[in-house]
Parts: sequence; structure tokens; C-alpha cells
Amino acid sequence: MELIQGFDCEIVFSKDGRQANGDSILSLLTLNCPHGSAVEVEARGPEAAACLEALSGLFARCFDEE
Amino acid sequence: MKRLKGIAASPGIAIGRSYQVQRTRAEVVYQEIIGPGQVVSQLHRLERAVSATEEELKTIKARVEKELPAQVYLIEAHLMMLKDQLFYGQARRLIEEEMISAEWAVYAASCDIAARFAAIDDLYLRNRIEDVEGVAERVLRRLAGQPAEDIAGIKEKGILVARNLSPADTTQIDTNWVMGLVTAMGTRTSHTAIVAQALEIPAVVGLEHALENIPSGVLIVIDGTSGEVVVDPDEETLFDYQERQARFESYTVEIRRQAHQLARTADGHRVSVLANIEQADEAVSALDLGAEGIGLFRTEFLYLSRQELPTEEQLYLDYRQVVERMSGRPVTIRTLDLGGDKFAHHFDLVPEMNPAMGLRAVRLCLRRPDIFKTQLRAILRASAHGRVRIMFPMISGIGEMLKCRQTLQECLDELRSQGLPYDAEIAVGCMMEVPSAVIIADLLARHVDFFSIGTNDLIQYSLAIDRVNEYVAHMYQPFHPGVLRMISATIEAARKRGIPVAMCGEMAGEPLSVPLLLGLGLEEVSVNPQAVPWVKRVIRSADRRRCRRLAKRVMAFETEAQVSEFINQELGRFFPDLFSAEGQMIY
Repeated sequence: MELIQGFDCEIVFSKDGRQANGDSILSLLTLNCPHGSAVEVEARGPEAAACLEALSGLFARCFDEE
Repeated sequence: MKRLKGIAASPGIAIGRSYQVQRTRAEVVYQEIIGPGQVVSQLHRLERAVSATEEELKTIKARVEKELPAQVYLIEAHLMMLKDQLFYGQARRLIEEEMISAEWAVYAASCDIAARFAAIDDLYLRNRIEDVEGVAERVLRRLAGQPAEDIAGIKEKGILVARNLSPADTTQIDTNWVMGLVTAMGTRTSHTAIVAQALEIPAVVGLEHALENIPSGVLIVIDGTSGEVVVDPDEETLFDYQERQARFESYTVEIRRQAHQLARTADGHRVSVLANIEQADEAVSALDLGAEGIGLFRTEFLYLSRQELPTEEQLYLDYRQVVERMSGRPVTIRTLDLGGDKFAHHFDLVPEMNPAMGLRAVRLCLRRPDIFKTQLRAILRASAHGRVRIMFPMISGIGEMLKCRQTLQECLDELRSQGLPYDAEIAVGCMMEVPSAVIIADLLARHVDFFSIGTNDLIQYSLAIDRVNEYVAHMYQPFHPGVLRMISATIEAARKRGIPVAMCGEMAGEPLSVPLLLGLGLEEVSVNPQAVPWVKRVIRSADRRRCRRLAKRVMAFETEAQVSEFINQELGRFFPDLFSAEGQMIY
């Protein structure tokens, strides 16, 4: 989320036809996706491409959690 | 001076200033419709409350960063939740559109969020609603002008007094400052008691009207061994407790020193004292405290602590670790006892009306042979590394026991054909905790190598008492003659068949009940690691012939009250060095 807020763009996560706004922790948490689920990410705005790239880097590093 | 009596939950004596922690919810006034002119002022109130809460959380964050850096992310998540559009944004919208008070808007927004969380499958994520509610509570308290207190923020020595403490509260306890706990709710087995025992600070729980009777800032004495609390003690009482406190401390050191020797009664009978553990690493403290083996290894933790079901390999390595640490001492592994109160997200269980009597333990395992066999294979493979005993929980009849044994046999055959090592002589036993099993104990004894009496469930099922239900918890009575007969019958059936019988419930760890249990013929007990030194101490002072006479008298009584009174009196005469005339442990 911190990462998303650093870019001028709007991010939407979706899973099973439901959507969550990238800058709302509550909507992300309630998207119902435990560790290991597949989600789709959509970005809109001037810095959308850069933001997506940074996000995929974060996902690849498993959110630096492990 | 005022004397109060609660439930003794963690031994020891604490003397200090009381410190009340308000853990009652802020009250929310029912939907208050406001005029259009008040919308702006309500929005302002909300804004002020949210920014005050933000400051509060930032202060906590700064402290946590220094003391518990690994937990900082929790507070950061709380800060994000506070400013989230679903929370703050929604509350603002509700004030503007529905024209309701700031309080009601915060409450309504958190209810909407709770509904979203309730639909999450994953247990861990679903439980995060607790964090959201915690944040909402902070804002509501600000709106009501009474900011929430933080336990971790306590920086004066004192004894906490609260209605109830949540797991989130108890993890914040810093024993440099918190000397003891008193709660109005709770039982000997509630979370507060378990944490206090692990932290080795005295606790008294279930003290009715604790908050009304014990204001903040007064001198109090709590005795976690007897359950007594003295508010504003006079000089004589205070002096008396100070002496007892000193004796307790030196006594604890002394009995821990003796704990590594085997326990023999005064007339020379060996009684084995083993430990109950929940996680592999507890085996270390069990050994340190003098346990002669593991009498109950609860295996639920690995199933509850992760998203996926544990694999055979993970379970095997975990069990093997304990077996190797105990190096040849017995390790009794109880198969999965899930269901009931320990709901697991793996099993897609539908909520049950009566989970204690529902699909749990071996009933659940027999319905899911895949899960059952994975665990049985892991236990059998671990048995190659030491002395493992396998124990089935919640057995209610022979048919069930035979099915468990058959599944176990299938696993043995598989391992043999795969050429994997295991102990072919592995002992197979069952928990005695369902009354029907006790009633047919003579028949059941033919099909097992040992019994282990699980008093917690046996008492609950025999007396039809749900011990977490505060209205009937006081009727949960280990000394009920019906319970004592169940225990006696189980021991007798095992003796006739020549198989060992142990007790692994909490009753076995109560110094008060040990002489009676010895008198009924019990020769093995398994207790929490912290209780091992104490139980060994009591056994050493006991004379088995006298214990038998005590048991004989006790079994003739008609009511629990008579039994308790008699035991309290007798113990003082029995063990003048251990118990006072009122039946309390002296140190």
C-alpha cells in the first residue's frame, strides 16, 4: 500500500469477480485471498506502468515477509 | 480492610497498588438523528476523534519500535485502518447522508466492515476484524471523552484489575511492571490463567465485582494459590502476607531443586510424574522442571497455526524432535483432538449447535481417513527414534476403538511394505473422558495397552457442565462423588486387566487432589510443566496407606461439599509441613 501511494495512479485488485481498491487495507483484506491466492491487478493513471512493475517486484519478493 | 475470594489461577503472592484497566466497551447511543445544521459539527467531532486516535497510535508505534520491532506492522495496519475509506470515509458519508451522530456513524461503519470480514474463509484473516474493532473502539472512546488505556504503557509497578483481559491485552504484559492479575471473569483454564502461569506471576480470576470492589491505586494483596484478595490490608495482615511471599519464593527455589529426583511416596512407592505439552519446544522446559516423560503431547498446534494441512514430513519432524529430546523417556502423542471449541478452517465444518458433543476428535478423524492416516504415519515413523505411545481421544465405545486400531494397522502395513522404520511394539491407548467409555472400562481394557483419564472433559460430560459458561461454571466440580466414582472405576478396571492408567487432566496437577488420587491407586500423572515440581513434592510427603484410608472415607460421602471440606481438613493433618489447617498450601 505504501508503494501504491507513492505513484500517481489508481490500482484495483480483483479476485472471483470481486474488486478491491489498492489504497484501502480493509477492502484488500476482505477480498478473501489468503497467502498463495491468485489475484488480478489493474492500474490506471499517468504512472500506471511504473507502479505495476514495482508491484510485481514486490510480489516476486513475497512482500519481504519471508 | 476487605477480604474477597476468587478463583486461584496462578500461584504466588503479589502485594502492590491496584491498577484498573477498563475493558468494557464504550457505550454507543442508539441512532441519534441530527438536524442538517449539526452535520458540520458532527463531522468536526469525528475528525478530531480520528486525529487524536492517530496521535495515540503513533505514540504506541514509537514505543513498539523500540521494544518489540517485530510487532510494528500491527500498529501500522491499525493506522491504515483508521484512515481507510471503508471506515473513516464511510463514517463521514453516513453523517452527511443519514444525518446521524458521529458515534453512531463510527459504529455503523464498523458493523459494515464486520459483515465483510465475516464472509472470509481464511480464519486468520477473518479474525483481523478484532483489529478493526479495536481501532473503532479507540475512536468511540475519544468521542466519549475517555481515551483507552494501554497495558504496555503501564510504567508503574502494580497489580492489574480488569473485568476480562483479551489475548491482545495479555501479550502486552510487561512483568517488570505488572506483578499480578485480578479479573472478574474467567476460570482456572481461561487464557488469563494460562498466560499468568507461563509468566510466573500470581493471578486470581473469576472474582465477581472486582472492578466495583477494588478501586485503582489502593494497596492490595493477591494470593494466587488460595484465590484470596485483600483490599487495603491492615498492618498485621500485610506483615503476614509479606512473610508468606518470602517463604513462597524460597520454597519454589527449593522444590525446583528437588524436582529432578524421582518421586517416591514416604512409604516407598514410585509415582511417575510426566508433563503435558502443546508444542515441540516445550519439551525442553518439561525436562528442566523434572518431568519423567511426556504424558500428553497435544498435536493440534501444527494444524491451527498454518493455512494448509501439515504434511506427513512436517509432522514427523516435529514429533521426532520431541522424541529425541526426551531420549528414551516415554512420549505419549494424542491424535488430533480438533472440532468443538477448537474450530479448524481446514475441515469446512458447519457451525454446530453443540460442538462439545459434535463432530470432533476421533469422530472427525475417522470421517477423514486421509488426514488421520497422515498423522498416524508420522507418529509411527517418529516411534523409531525413542519410546512413543499413541493415544486416541474421545473414545466412546469399543467399535470406535477398533476402527482406530484398524486404521493404525493399515498405516503399519504401509510403512512395512515401504521399508520405513517404526516401533512395532508401540503402545496404543485411549483417553478416558466420555462417561460411556468409563462405564465399559473393563471391556475397553481388553483392547488397549493403557488408559489416560482426561478429567477436564470427563467432568464436563459427566456433570453436563459447560465450564466456559459463567452461569454454570461453579458447578464444574472435580470432587463431585459421581466424578470420583468414574475415576475410581477406571483405575480399578485397568488394575484388573493389568494395564497402566494415568491421569492427564488438570485435576492431576492440583496439589489438593494428589493424595486422594494416590489413595485411589493412581501411579502416573501428567501435568503442566510448571506443576511438576509441586506435584512431586506432595507425593514425597504422602504415605500410600494413609492416602488409601483417606480415599475410602471420601468415597463414602454424598456431596461435593462434604468431600471438599473433609479433604481441606485432612490435608492439614496429613501434611503438616505442606498444608495449613484450612487445607491451603503453606510455604
